[in-house]
Amino acid sequence: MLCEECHENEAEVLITEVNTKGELKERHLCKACAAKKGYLLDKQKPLSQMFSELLKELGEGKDEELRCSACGMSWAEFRRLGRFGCERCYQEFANHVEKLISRIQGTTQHTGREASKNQKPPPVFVEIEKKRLRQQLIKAIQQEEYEKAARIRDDLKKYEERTEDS
Amino acid sequence: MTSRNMKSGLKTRKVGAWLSGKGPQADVVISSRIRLARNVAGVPFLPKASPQEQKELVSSINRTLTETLISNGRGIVHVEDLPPLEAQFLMERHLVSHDFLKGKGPRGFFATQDETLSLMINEEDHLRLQVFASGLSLKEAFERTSEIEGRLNSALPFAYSERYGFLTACPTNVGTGMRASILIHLPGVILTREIDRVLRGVLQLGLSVRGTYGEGTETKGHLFQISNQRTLGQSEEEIVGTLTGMTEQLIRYERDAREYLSTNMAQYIQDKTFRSLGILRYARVLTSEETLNLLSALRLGLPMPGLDVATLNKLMILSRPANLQLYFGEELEPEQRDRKRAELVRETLKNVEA
Repeated sequence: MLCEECHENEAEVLITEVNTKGELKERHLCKACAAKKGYLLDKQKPLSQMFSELLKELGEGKDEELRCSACGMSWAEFRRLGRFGCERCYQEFANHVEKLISRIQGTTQHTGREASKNQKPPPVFVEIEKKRLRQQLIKAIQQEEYEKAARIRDDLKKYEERTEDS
Repeated sequence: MTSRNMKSGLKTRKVGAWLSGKGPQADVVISSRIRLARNVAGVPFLPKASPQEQKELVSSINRTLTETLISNGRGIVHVEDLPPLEAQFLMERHLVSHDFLKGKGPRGFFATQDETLSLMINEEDHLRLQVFASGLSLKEAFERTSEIEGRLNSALPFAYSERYGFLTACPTNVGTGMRASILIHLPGVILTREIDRVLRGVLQLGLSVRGTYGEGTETKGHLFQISNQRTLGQSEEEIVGTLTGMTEQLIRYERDAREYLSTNMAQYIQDKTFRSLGILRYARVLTSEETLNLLSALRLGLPMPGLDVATLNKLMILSRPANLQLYFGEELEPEQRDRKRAELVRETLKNVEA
């Protein structure tokens, strides 16, 4: 019997497919086509392995010094850890994030449940964040990085507004 | 070291209600589990959280647990104060992860007395919520998880984006932040040499197959853990539906295989079951792995007078090293453990008749 995929080689592998309804479908394939389609067990990479391979290649060489302005994580650091430093990283590294998520998740749009809206973080975290921003602001001014200082000042204002609301 | 001295307040001689064997199809599917990952909005994720922020996360979430009546008077456990043996005990019971125990800084752990709900604060994400249920009960477990998550979210804002859903430290969890999994016993499929074919079908659905203790662990005692790999682009109900459908199919394969074995290889199976029973009932030294494999053979031999699924599930947990030591209330060297394990098994199975 010839392979049902390429119709050239002898079929050596019997693939049994199961769909979500629990229906069975049998396909006869040659080894090369079965491997190509990822049907051979040992050829299938676990997601974690795929993820670490992607981390190695994404934005290598360039963008290493790209930094999240909220938490300070660099792209190089993310590639090493495989973990983001804060929720803002998802926007700050937008280009890479979109590519990365599409490769590991197969899609980039959430369709599940939504978070409840209009929530404020507990005040204690706002205080910690404000303190951190104030320190950063002082440092930026001392180092005469005025653009950066202005950005931090804006962020700080946002935080102050938030606490006044509550 | 009695239960009274356990920081978690958990009983050392009882196991979680999700091991009761009372859920649907619990003779094949040991348990169902739903795990959600969440982060508190406006607070850096763990790689960038300061020790102070980590500490505040533990106390904020603890307060929320009290306010939303989830904790029901039970406090959280500070993981960094946990004796190593109790930490391992919790891991063997699937209530905490290895990474969580290895982590740094303030971390919190919570579990209900019946062990069907557990919470890790400052694992890879600020919050990891897990619900366990007996048998194939993913839908029920999800509904409970969702209800608890809703209560937490009414007091704590979660990092969320319209596009990517719930934002997690690792993008492999983004979206629903949900991992649904089942623990299934497939000795029939293995003995009839159908396992590769069957598992291939599982992988094709984008599900992952792992050993009992998660990624990279060996499969022991013919037990497999199957879960969704992708967390984005499907609703929680779809994820639960796919895994439930696949599991029902696996159960049919397993039952067919057992049917085949009992028709064509009845003597072989009986011999295997009774030999296993013989060893378990009379051995004086049992290693952890040998015990698991023999228990698997007994499970295949059910129904058997004087033996039920709950007893096998209980032994599966209590025979593990830290659980065994806390059961007997003393620290034991590996050789002593093997003797004590045999004692526990012998005592538990003394009324099982061939």
